[in-house]
Amino acid sequence: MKYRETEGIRVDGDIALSTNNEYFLKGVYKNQNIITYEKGIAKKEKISIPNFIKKDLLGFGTAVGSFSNTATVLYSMIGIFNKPEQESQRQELRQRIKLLREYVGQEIDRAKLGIKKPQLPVSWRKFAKLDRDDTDIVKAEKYRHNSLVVNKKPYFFRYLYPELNKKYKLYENSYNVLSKDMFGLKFKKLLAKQNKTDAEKMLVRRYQKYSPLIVSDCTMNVLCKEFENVDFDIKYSKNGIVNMLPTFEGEFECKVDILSEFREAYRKYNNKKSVKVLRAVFDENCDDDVEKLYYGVRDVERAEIKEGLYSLSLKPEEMLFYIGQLAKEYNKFNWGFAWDILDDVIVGCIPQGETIAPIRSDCGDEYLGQNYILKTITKNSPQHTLEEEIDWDMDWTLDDEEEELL
Amino acid sequence: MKYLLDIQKGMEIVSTKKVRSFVDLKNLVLCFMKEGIVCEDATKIINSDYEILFDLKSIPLYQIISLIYCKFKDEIDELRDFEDVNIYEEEYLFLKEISDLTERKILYTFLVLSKYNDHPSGWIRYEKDFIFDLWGLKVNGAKKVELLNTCCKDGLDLSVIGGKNPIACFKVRFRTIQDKPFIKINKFCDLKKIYFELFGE
Repeated sequence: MKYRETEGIRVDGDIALSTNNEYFLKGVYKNQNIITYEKGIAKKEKISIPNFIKKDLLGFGTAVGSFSNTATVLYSMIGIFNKPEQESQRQELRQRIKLLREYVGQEIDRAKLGIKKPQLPVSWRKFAKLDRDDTDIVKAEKYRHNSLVVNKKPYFFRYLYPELNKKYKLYENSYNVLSKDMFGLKFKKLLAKQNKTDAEKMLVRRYQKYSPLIVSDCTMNVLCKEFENVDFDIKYSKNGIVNMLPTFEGEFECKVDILSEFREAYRKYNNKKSVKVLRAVFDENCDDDVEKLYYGVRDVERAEIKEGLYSLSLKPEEMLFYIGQLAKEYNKFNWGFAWDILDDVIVGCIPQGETIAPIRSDCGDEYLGQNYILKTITKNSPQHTLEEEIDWDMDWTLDDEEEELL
Repeated sequence: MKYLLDIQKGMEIVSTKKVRSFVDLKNLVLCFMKEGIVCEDATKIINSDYEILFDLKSIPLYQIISLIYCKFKDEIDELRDFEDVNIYEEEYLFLKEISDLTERKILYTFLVLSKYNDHPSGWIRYEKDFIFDLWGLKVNGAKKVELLNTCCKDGLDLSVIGGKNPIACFKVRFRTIQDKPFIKINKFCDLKKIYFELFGE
């Protein structure tokens, strides 16, 4: 196969793949021509420090990411034009995607070939202004042009860019508030509602039109929604299986008065009243400083709860036992309570598992020129056990020649 | 206008000298900020002249006060004094026709709010909680939604406005302009008083 027929494939790790895999075959764009174009030839240059620097500088600030993002946006935009009469828009977007293949290729080769930075056509990003004097035909052209302008990102990008996600959440939240107050429905339910009224349709239309993200049914958006459905629907076990802490069942006698102390402490632990009040004080102005204040308040409250429980003079294992008894009373128990109350003392309650480590030993297995055995490490193993068997007799001093080189 | 209400509440604390919660403390501090008192002086005054009747959860008082100064500086600096708000006869007659007293109060306040925060487009930031707070309306979430739902049917439009910073906004459909005002509201603290003068309850 000629280099040109393989879309620029080289022998530096690129793969030319032929497959009969049904998924590949199903997803592939069929009857497409290979996109290729006339590439320049690198000018022969002397190997010199200034030339190295010059070429390195050409490689900075590459727009490859930006171009490929633009292509991704264009793919998602195709889904907006899903009516049969919108074939010309779909065609135009596909054409731009193909052109972007060349832009990306040129950008990759830019440093090598020393060519100018390729620029995307301004019209792809710039809206046409409508004038009052515009004829209907001109207006229609401008509407068409504006509908193809790249100025939003696809829905799934919200999980790539936290700022975008924040903005989208604000946007969604605003519509949710309005939907509830106008129609008494959560916006998600309104979106799914059949036979919407005119006012409801209007709200949904505005949401779609002004959404900061493209919510079309492009492949990645569909996949993203699938993931959201699966991920957001994960239900965590309510029957205590999620707890891996030992609760020393049967090792202690459960006293009702002590258990009620734990119940009260757990109630206080889950009471977020102070934090809620602080949120009310600072409402929308919540940032790191305010968060610190929240954590400060929570720490004080937790310290008070801890103090109360520690005054019962129970062993850590016994405390875990009572927490275990308490957990049985709840469908969903917050095991963070145990970790926060017992703090690092909890580590001492967790049974030691088997820990093995490779130790250098002449009778062990060979690995990269040295021999090792696997040795079990116990709680009581002194820390220097590992070091004792390591050969530290190597000469680490530098000779004169090495020192000179340094 | 939300901050005007907070400051009004703060002024009540100035007279009682009793601070009963974090929210009280915030309102008092906002009141001092509005008076142009600097943070250090506000801390000294509160420490010496006021009774703190709630648990500060070991947070030093000065830390909370300075944080309130820092977080609300822009809002208080930009806060305009309450300017005259004119209610016209047509608006009064419209409100008079509303039979549900709570709904009438809500629509009346939205009207005043739209005039105080006037914008040429007529769209004003939607702050429903402020209205419920102002009238001390303790209603559950469902009842609140039901009330606002009725307000939307009778005289309120809601929309999300702004591309870069989208926010929920409202517009009062029955707002109008006539030659002569039916009644003027000169002070924020008169907002409720005028309502009772106009509608009795």
